[in-house]
Amino acid sequence: MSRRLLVVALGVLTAIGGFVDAGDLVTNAVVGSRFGLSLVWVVAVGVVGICVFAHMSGKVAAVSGRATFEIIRERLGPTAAGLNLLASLAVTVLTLVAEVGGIALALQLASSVDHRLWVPVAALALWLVLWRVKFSVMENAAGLLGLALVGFAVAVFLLGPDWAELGAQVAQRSAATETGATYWYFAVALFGAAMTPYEVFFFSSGGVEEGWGTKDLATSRLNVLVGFPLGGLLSVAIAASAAVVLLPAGIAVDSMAQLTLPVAQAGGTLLVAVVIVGLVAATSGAAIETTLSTGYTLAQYLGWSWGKFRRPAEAPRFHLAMIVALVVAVGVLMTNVDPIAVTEYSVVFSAVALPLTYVPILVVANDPEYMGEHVNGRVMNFLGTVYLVILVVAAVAAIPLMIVTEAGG
Amino acid sequence: MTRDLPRRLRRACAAVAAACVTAGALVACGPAAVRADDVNALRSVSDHLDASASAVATARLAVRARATGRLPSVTADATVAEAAETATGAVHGIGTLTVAGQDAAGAREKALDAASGAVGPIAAVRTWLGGSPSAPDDVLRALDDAATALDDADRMVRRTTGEVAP
Amino acid sequence: MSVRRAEKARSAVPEPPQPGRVLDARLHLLDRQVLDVDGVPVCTLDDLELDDVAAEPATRAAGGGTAVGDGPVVIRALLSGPVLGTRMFGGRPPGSRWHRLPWRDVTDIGTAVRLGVPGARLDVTWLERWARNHVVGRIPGGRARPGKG
Repeated sequence: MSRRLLVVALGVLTAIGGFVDAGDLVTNAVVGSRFGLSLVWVVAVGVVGICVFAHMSGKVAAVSGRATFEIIRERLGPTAAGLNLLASLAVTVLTLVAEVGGIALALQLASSVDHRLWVPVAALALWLVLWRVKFSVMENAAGLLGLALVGFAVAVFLLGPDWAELGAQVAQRSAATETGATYWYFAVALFGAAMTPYEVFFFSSGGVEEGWGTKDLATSRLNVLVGFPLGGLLSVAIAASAAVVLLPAGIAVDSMAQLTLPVAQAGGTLLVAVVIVGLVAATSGAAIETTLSTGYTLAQYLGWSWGKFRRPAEAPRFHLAMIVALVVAVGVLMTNVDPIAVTEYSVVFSAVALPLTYVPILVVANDPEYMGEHVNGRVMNFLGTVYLVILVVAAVAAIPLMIVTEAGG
Repeated sequence: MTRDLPRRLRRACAAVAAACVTAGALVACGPAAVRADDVNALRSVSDHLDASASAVATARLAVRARATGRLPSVTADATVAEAAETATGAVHGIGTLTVAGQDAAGAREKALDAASGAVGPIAAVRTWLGGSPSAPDDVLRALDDAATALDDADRMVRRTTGEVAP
Repeated sequence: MSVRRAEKARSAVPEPPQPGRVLDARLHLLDRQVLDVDGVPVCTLDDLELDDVAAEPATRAAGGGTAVGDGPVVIRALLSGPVLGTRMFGGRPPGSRWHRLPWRDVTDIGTAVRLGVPGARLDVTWLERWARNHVVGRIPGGRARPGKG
């Protein structure tokens, strides 16, 4: 019994620590420093959305034993699924570039070695982990270390802000110095950051990796329903720390280093060190997940052998695909592109690609051939449909808003 | 009949493309005053000044935190290095904009001076971080002056665009 | 083991009831994941090789949409091949590019098609074997189980 409790606790903690990635970090800090807490509602909407769809994709994997993209290909046929694959791969690789860049930037904070030099080192380390470390070990390690981001929440409390004023910011619908279009552009970006599309592939394939069955459904539901909202609170804490310190100082966040300034002011060197560990872990965990997702989607669409539970030699093309993805990411970062800019674009394009990845999972979760008696209930379908509308609106609005606001100005 | 349609389509595409190229060439060769919309250019100058001011404020926070021993020096250095990059980027951005009118050129000039003036103090912070521990008063004063200059320049730019009353 | 072909285009005429499961070739077979005896993914099912029960062997495809004749047909083999381009834009790759998985090897059709033979022996996995023998297997640790040794 206590062992079972431990497993559940571990799952929840991992879900909290694994929720935040480079996109969440950067977007929340930028939004906090420019709009205060006036966009917190978007995080809330995004967290509920990711709960709904992560739960659905985990359930599909647990019940049918088949991962999402196999089913997408089977149900949509090669053309529609192929277009879906291309879009998902493009966004996932873009996210991977952002995550690897994020690792490099976080390591620079601890070493004063330029981030461009860290990029190949980080990519090599990621590959070694993917090559040699067991799935559950790397998932739990990254998630637990990612919990160090609680440092941001600690910082907010230590700063002792005017809670009434922060509360007023939450109720606000814009910021004095920003235009309405910019506000909505960042709303879409924040939504894309919270709901990143690779997570659906990752959850469903991860469920197969860990051999989930129907008896694990309760555990997976608990992980998602408790872990993700708490992870969302970490996102809000990042925004809040930026809103308390950086917003009044007139600083608009454009680097990862600025995230440490509120933490330093609140908790000193020790808390900064904790937060840097959290930054490295969160971006590394997300980089591992995105790399795996590129391998998963490609292998599942093409019918290759895949999975970390197999030896690399038993899933050679899956491992080759991940190596190629990492090489592409390093190549892009080596062009001296700004990782923060890549991150900002990646969350917006995530928002564009979201309907593509979420529609099929909603369809499959209603398919009795795969799901048997576990097809979606009415509540899930209602939530799923509501979110579908939100996703489509966000996806359609994303590019026009990007053009009008010149990517947030 | 079936072969006709693609040909007609192709011809239509060619016509559209030719029209686009002609229009583009005409716009590109037009007089400078038409091309450069001064108000838009100055708004962009104002954005760059904001970025520069944000960089100065970042450096200031980093110095304060470092002086009280709250920020590890490596992290402080990385923070200020990024701020220096932003500040230089702002100078580059303002320097490459073209404005046509006399007033706008004057405002741009002042903005360029202020933005260039902010790069030095930020670079000096990195020197201060690398050197032996000393009171940060001089560094902070230089940053404050840079911030004031940026503020003045921004006000002048906004006055020129008519965003704030003179 | 013969499976009655019940293609959608021809189901306007109701089929007479018959023993066994009725499978829709497009719905239940096409694009489905093929697993070997150990559950290792082999390929995606791209097409079927059909034969008239009585007539001369004449291979036709379910994916191509052409019927062999009006009589009952049997599935001779599952086909896999370089079809992504042709499935999207039309046409059909030449016969030499197809890999055949004999129907007698199929043991079960559920949410995936299961074979009763190990995938390593099949022609269709040659690219997988090539990647293993020439690239992935040569990198140190490539043949070890993650987390051990």
